[in-house]
Amino acid sequence: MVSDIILNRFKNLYEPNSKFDKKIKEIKFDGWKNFNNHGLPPSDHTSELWKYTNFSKLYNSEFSKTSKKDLELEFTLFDKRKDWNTIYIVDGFYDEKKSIISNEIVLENALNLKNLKYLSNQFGSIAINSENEMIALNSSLMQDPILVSIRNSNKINNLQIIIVNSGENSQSSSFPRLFVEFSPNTKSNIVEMYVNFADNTNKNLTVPVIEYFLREKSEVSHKRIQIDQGNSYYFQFDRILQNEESRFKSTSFSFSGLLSRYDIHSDLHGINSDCSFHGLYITDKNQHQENEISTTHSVERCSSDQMFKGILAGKSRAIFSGKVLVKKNAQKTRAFQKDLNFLLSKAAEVDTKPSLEIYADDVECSHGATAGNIDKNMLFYLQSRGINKDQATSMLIRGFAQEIIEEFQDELLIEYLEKLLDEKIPNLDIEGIM
Amino acid sequence: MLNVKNLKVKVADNNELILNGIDLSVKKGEIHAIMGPNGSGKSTFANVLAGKPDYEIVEGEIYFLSNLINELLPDERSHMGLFLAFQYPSEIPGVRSFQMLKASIDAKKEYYKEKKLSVREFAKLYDSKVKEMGMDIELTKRSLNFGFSGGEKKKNEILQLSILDPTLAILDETDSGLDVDALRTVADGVNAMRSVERSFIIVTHYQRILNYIVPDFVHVLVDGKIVKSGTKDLAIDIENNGYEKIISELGS
Repeated sequence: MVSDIILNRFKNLYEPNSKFDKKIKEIKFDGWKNFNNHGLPPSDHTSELWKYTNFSKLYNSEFSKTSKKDLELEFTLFDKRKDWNTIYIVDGFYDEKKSIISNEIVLENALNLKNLKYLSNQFGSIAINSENEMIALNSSLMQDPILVSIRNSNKINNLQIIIVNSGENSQSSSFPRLFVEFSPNTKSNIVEMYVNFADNTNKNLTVPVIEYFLREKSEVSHKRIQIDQGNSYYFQFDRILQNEESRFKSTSFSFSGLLSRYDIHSDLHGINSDCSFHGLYITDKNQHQENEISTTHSVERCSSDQMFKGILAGKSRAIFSGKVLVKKNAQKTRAFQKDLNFLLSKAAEVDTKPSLEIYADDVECSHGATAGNIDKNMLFYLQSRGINKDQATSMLIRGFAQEIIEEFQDELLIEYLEKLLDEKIPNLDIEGIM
Repeated sequence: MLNVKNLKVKVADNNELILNGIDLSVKKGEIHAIMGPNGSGKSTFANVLAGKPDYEIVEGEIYFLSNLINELLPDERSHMGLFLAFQYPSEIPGVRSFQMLKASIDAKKEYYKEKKLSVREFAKLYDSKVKEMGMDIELTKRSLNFGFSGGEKKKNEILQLSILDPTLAILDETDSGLDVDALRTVADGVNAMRSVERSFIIVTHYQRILNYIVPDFVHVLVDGKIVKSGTKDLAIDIENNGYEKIISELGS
């Protein structure tokens, strides 16, 4: 039974009479119906999907509505790339003034669909309301859904999606929603970034849902960065549908907030398609980061690989839940999974559960997970070269992270992340292990 | 240079002594070989000199350049001019040889409150040493020792030796796992470093490397103790008759 108190709280945020396109309005209504049936995920470990998530804090919070605003925010990193298409979503609303969209891509919002009306049938079919409570919540409360179509197959398309929490309202909630279509034979670089301007006392809730629809032979290089220095709740869902011979290569970096979850899933739906999810998560203090990484092999001759690394300090907790489902018809599947963790304090905890569920019989699959401390021999090696213990420790942590950082293959992002790591790593709370 | 007196050592959680009263004196410019059968404590001795924290000194003293270094950290010993070439160099993900050595040199300069080398100055030094060692420059761009063959790992140790320019270099079984060509390259690297100011301790199981790097003194370690000392002829005797002869002499 869903608690009336929680429903009433979110009811204040729900607007049934939105002016969205008819189909999208149906998704919204369906989301609300789902949310009414299920509410927020349970906090008592009864749900396998939310086994480790402590929702109790969220149950007791009341979140406010945001409004469309015109803010002067500084984004020094992305402003450097004037030649990139850039979508700013500030507190759940598309910021048209700040965003840069070239005439090579088509962008429309759900209030006024014209050229992209055909996509409204796909909207909500990749990220499905009935799949989980938070996707349903996003559908119910999405403020300003955006649809994008990438069509130019003669050049590499560059698109940045910047999800911003302005910190203007306290305890605000926002539900960014995007649907991105990649036309056949297109090649794209997608950068997704979450920026939180709220201070530590401001506990806001952000639940972005992005649907990526890859048509045949499209290729996407997806780079995602989540840096949350604040104290917020963040649940992100990337849902991908891949058609024949499409490629989706994702690299992710999470420096998590109070409670955050990165949840990515791809359905390999066309033969000879390929998907890779790599990522690095760093947690410190009392932070909690979940990584729900899953791939479904629906058809034959596809490959997937998942490779995540975690660095945990303080009293933080991280979860890696990697799933690969190989359906009965998905013969000749190749699937690999790996999760490696560096535990830097006694109080930090990681729960890692790579899993393979295989119904086909002609497949090549492997998985593995490790969790360990700083290697004493490596430490002695560096110390014997004159590098003191603290610096040697930082070098080893940094080295562990470097492999994933280099996979970003984007000079600006790599430089930004390296600088961030150089600042953060020496300050991680690593007491009590050595 | 180095004075070791009655050194007794155990591992932290075991009371059995691994080194059982070693006395050794190494003077400036000398090359000493420490030989011994497997499990005699050779590698432990090398690691204890470099300050490996796994070991506990129960008794005795280590003086390096007239300073008692028993309690000094490995990095402090390195700054003073002590270097250990490892038997099994660690593979360190994400850390490159250039980056590590730059950090080493920086740390040493900082320790002595000297001006650090610029990246450019260091790169010049580094590149010339890589060339001297005849190493593939591509290897130096990889993570330290990752995907290196046994020989490349040892060459990389000698590269570090030549860049860090220590006053005492300890080579822990640097010859193990090397083919003749690699052994010659490594030995050439070491011989090029020989000087009246620098001393070497060569820890080895076999006499082979001592054909290339000729020692002034040879010591035989058995059960954590030096049981016999001599000149290079002692090494040849071991090569011909094995350690058994020396051990049986002890018994009689």
